[in-house]
Amino acid sequence: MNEQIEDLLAVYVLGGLSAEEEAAVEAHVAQNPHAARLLEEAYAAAALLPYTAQPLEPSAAAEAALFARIEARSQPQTALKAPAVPAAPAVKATRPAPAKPTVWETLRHFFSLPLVTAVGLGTAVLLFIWSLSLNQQVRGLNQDVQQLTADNSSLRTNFDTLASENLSLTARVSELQAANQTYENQVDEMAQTNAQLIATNHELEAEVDETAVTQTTLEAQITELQNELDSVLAAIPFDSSQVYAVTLPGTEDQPGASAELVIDPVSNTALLIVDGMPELPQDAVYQVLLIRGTEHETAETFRVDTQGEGVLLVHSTEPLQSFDAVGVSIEPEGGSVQRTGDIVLLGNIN
Amino acid sequence: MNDLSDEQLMALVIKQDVAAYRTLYERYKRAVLGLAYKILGDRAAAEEVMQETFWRIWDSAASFDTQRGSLPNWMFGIARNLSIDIVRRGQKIKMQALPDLHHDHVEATPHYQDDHDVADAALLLLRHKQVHIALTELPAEQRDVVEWIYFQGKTRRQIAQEMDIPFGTINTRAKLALDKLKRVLQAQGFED
Repeated sequence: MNEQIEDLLAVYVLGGLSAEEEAAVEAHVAQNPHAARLLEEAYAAAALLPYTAQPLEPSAAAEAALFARIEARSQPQTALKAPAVPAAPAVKATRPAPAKPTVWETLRHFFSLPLVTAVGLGTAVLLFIWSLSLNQQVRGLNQDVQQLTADNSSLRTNFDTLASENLSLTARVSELQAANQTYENQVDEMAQTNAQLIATNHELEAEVDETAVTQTTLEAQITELQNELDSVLAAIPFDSSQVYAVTLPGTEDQPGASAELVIDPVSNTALLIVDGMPELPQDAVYQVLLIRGTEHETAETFRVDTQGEGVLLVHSTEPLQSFDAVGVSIEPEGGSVQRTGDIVLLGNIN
Repeated sequence: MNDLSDEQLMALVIKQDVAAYRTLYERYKRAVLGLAYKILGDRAAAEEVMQETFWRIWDSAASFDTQRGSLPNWMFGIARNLSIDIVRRGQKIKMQALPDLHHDHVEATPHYQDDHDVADAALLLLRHKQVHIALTELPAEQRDVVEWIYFQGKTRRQIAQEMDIPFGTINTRAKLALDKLKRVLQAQGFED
């Protein structure tokens, strides 16, 4: 309720409330110092309103009527104090003395002097000119205010434009930063990939090195085997004048197999060189068969390498030429006294 | 006598000092008549209000209390109330717009008693121009509320009914108008 009454203070001082509302405002203000201050401020503002009215010069008649009324109110007091008029003498009447002028009449007479009037009018003209000058200054200042307001508006527009451009640039910077971050991430990924590739390359280089070592080792082994073979061949007491060779073709069990049997009748040894024979499992071996008629004698056993190649020196207690044929069969590990497996190579000796 | 303040002059008027009273009269007669004329729009009625206003100042001088406001406020209040009473009785009703400052009309020939009188008249004229311009610079809706209530004597309820404006809006516009008026004039160095 107090807030509502304080909302009425402006209308109250202007005189726009009903009697009941005015009473409510006055009762509230009497009890509320804050409201009393607000009312005082409202009064101060409202006190300026009468000055919006154009000042007007009262007519002489109006002034005269007012002061006549005042004089009339004052006259009873003046009449009580006035001295008694003396009685006229019997002798010839003298000219009555002129009435003493009132203060008002004295003042009016004095201020109606031409000089004073001229000075007053001149001063009035000067002050009027001065007021016009002030009015011009006020107009000029108002124009300045308007110009400054327009400038301010223009500056604000420029500021808003720059702020908008700043926002756009900021957004663009953000985009570029995001793109830059993306590129950095890609570079990081590429760096990781590169590191992985380098590691893989190192591994491959190591494998290549290991392979090279293995190759070197194998080559050495081959050289060694070749040397051994040469040694073996050199140790073979073959009489080249009677040495002859027979071919042992593969049977139906190993049609791809073949062998050469180089026979030296003098030493009764033969060199078997096989080719195209599959490797056998660990529990089986190839065995040489010396065949005579329907009987046979088993001789040395051998294995082939991964290429299916093998070399074997065959010895016999009997002359090899006494046999009819030579064969190779598959036997259990360690060989057999009698053939148990299939014959994979077979050829005549003679 | 012209160098005395309003309060000092009133102290003399209480003692039936006509010279002091005349000084006050010369000091404020134009403003009081102008206010009455603005409200009534009739010269004769306005001069009657002016006479009655100054008569009451003479007759009720003893009742003037400086604690309740300044002499001009009291004086203008009497003049306004007399004028509004006439308006509400329907005797003089005139919708008067704010006068054009470029075409001021002086209804009577100025009669200046002395240099102080001339100076007071010039100061009043300048003050009028300042306040009038400040009032015209108010937003139209705020200026209208002030015009309707203060110068046309309408109550808040009449405005609400005739103009279909809510009470709260009337309260707000009146407050804003007075606040802005005082603020603008203070910025111009106007002293009441």
